[in-house]
Amino acid sequence: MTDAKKLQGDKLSEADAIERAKQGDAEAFQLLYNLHKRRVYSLCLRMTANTAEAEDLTQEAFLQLFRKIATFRGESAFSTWLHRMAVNVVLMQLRKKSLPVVPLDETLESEEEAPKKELGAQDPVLASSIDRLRLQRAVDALPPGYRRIFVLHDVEGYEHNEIAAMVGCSIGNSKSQLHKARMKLRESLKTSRAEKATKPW
Amino acid sequence: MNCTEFQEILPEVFEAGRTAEQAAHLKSCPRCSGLLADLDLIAREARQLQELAEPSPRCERCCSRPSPIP
Repeated sequence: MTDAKKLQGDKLSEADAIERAKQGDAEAFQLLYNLHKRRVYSLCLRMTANTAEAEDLTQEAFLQLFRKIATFRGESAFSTWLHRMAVNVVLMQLRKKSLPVVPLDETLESEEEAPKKELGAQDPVLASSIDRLRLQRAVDALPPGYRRIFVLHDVEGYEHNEIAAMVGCSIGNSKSQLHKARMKLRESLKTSRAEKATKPW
Repeated sequence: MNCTEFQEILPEVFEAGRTAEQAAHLKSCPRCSGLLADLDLIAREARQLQELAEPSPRCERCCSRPSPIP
């Protein structure tokens, strides 16, 4: 029986796999990869809206894990620790591309990107416009800075103080960007709903 | 409080809750209460985007067995 089958047959726990992976056990690392690959890849995909880039970043995240797993002390859950590592990998890559993570001056955003001020008539049926696919498309279409903050806060559940530390902005900026992202999504969802109503086919 | 003033402090309403003045405006203003409800709905629905995607087999081949650092 191969070690891999033995490991699986014995239902190696994640904690055991982590300890073995720290010692360089490739099978244990494979197990950790299988346990966490989808969450890491999904995070990268949501933040980049690009499958090729998300795969590259997933590879980078697991490479980082391979290099740093010996430093994991168990002070937080492994999944939390790995997730934070993946977020940092994505943010670092975006900085390398010179993509503004968050606009430094909110007044410099283009008219096209800025959500419209809301003082118009109430639309009471937004709820009927939101399904997962339509929402995902709207998120993918957000300006990158808005998308990043929205994904980190509303999808991944990070708090503003955490986002501010990771992204390198103020807490106020994080809140402001999140609000604009949500306003932009509301606009997009109402627009797509209106378009669907005029083109039923 | 008017709609412009309320919508300017909306980001804080989500984080810190609403004051009596803000609550009173919401009670009397269907536009702002509708806007708040929409934004809250978007924030809640965002959680369903946590559904997990599967990386391609190409990604699997590279990720699961990283080469040791030379």
